[in-house]
Amino acid sequence: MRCRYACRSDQHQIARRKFLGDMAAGGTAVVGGLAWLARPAAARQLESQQKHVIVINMHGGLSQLESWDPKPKTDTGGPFRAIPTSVPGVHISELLPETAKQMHHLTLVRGINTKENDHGKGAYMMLTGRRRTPAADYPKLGAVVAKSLETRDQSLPGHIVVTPGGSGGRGNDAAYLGPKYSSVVLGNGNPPPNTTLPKGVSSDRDAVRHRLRRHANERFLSQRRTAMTDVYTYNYEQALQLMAKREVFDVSREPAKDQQRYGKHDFGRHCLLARRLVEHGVSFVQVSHSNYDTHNENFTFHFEQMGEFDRPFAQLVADLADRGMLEHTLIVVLSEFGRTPRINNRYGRDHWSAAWSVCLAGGRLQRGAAYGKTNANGTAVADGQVDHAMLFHTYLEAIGVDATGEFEVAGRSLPVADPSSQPIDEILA
Amino acid sequence: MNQPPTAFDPKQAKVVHQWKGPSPLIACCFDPHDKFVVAAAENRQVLRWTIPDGKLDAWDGHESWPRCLAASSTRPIVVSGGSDDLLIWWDTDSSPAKPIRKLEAHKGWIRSVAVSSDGNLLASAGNDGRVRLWELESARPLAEWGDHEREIYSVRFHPDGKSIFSGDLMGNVIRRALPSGRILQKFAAQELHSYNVGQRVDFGGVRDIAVRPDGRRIAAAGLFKATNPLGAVHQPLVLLFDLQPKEQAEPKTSEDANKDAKAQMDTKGARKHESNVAGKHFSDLKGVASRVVYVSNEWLVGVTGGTSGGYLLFWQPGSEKPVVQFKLPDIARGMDVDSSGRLFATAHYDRHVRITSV
Repeated sequence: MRCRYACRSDQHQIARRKFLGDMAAGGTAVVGGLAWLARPAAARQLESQQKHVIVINMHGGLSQLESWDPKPKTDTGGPFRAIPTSVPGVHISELLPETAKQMHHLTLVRGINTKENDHGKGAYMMLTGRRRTPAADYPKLGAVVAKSLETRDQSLPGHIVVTPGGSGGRGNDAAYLGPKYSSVVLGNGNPPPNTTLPKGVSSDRDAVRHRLRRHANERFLSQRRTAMTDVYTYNYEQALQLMAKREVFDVSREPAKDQQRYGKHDFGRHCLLARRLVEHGVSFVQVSHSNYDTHNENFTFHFEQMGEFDRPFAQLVADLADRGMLEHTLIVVLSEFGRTPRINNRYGRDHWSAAWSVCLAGGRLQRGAAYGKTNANGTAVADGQVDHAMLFHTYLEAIGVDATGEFEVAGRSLPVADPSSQPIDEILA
Repeated sequence: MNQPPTAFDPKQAKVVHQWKGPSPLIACCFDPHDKFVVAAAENRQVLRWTIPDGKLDAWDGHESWPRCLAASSTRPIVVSGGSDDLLIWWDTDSSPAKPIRKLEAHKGWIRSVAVSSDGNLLASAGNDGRVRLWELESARPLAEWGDHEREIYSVRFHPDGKSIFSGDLMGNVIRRALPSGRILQKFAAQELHSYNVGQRVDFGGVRDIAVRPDGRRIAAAGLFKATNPLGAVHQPLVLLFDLQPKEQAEPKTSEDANKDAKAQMDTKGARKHESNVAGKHFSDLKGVASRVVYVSNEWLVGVTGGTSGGYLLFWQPGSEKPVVQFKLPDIARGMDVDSSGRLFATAHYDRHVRITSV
């Protein structure tokens, strides 16, 4: 694989020195700001035109044959047919009729080979762009985006994960970027837990308590300020801002007709919540749709699950496009892997990472493109093979983040993305 | 088949024929004269083997998988329903066979087809939640009903031809009067449905319905104990329901029928009657009862396929577990019984159709 960043070109060296110089000039300003960015011009651009990422995680392993890369009338094709889309020549599964109408906004990547058939490892690779190793833990895409797109006046968390159930809380997914960039988890799309004042505590009394806390903090920080104490301070202040903006997380405040359009089921609500959150400035939102681990009755389950996915996803794409937000919002529909072309004896498909697909939209991506190709019955990549690391680079480049940059963390320079990989230039406009 | 077989002894079951096709099989049926066994295959073909020499003919016509088959009891006609929404009528006596008629009948898969015992009516049902009634000879549409809120998995006629049953994913079974479509009874077979919170999927459903030859009981087949639906961890289950001894008088108009049906479904009394499970049959095997047939008032035969393999299951009244579990060489997906009630055709993943003699 060609390594664009291993070339050590003059341009890259200059950019890295400039980045490190900016970091040195940034001094101890660890809370907020964009001083870490390698390209100040890009930083200004990001600041003026806030970018966003929405990831839809098709948990369990979406079948590429029942979604983005159908192979009808082959031994592996299964019972579903392919339908034309709004882009001539591009066909997707008949399970996605509403999505097909939005194909001119979408970008399909059909030649993925991640060589990993384990759920946990595959998910880790797709969300970090790296293989998990015993020696290092890497931040997930949400944390990287939250840090990369952070703005000075940001009042909401930059990394939000909406789970299908659960009570919410805080994720542990920022690795060396630190807990500031860990996800705020919205259990079943509900507002963050513990964001209302306890009974018996008035707003005035709460304000007095925080004045006291700040006073104590300032005394402490004047002599013992560290990155960790800054994070503690940040978390307190962010929690207060979160409490003040709690209604942002309340999807029921969206117009009734929109709630109807997206559907009243969990995934519909969560897609609408994702739209609401990015409209309010949240950098990264991850929504899950579960469950696609269909070793048994793959076709019945995909009929059920894709039927639920299709309309809200298409609505989300159409709404962001209509509102002019798709230009600066990247949508990623990913999974930990695909599913076997071979149909097993229980009408199931098993884990398959050798030839599968993701669907992207927005940002700098070319619209209506289908990149990469699998062979006639979908068992191998025939053209345009890519992997998780290339996709990770592509996501960042699509929102204007220099994936060749580095994070400066506790005196260490850490690459934003796998430095041995590169973006898929062919799908970037 | 409606005559109780004499000396019916499932312990003597043995596979007497097995013929290989070009693709994994999905469903099968005997033709009305037991000259052929017909199967639906994943390669989109309908296959016909001649009994007993096993000569194979392959018929093209479906754009996707054919999923279900039904044979006329009076004419050489088999109808297939497919994932392509098509119903295709086949002349089983012609060689090579050709479609007599083809029409788009549903939006979504056709999951089940049935022919009435007099050979005049065809019923079809599928993922669009609709039951459609056709004149078999002409394919003329006669009626359509849409009272199921989810996918319909099974449709069967009562032997007397006066009512029809349909069962869905959620475990609802509806009995309608013919030809009005008025709902006579609803049966709560919800034990056949499960919703897995972790996997967030509805699963199970009424995979098949069998009516006892005396017309007084139905069996609704499927699965239960679905602790891991996506991983095929579940067991076969058949729920038994008694039919109302007396049917109410037919309303005068279809509008009246619909009003009556709605009123009947909404009243507390009707709901109390709905949950009248009269008994159950199950097996400890891992699998699903995908097809059941009564070979007499005494014997109910089911077929199962799953992680435990393929089996013919033989139940008698009063025995919750099978009296005999006959292991087949491979996972079975479909089954039919011939007119003698002694030969069972099974459709297998390993591309074989097998005939088991009892």
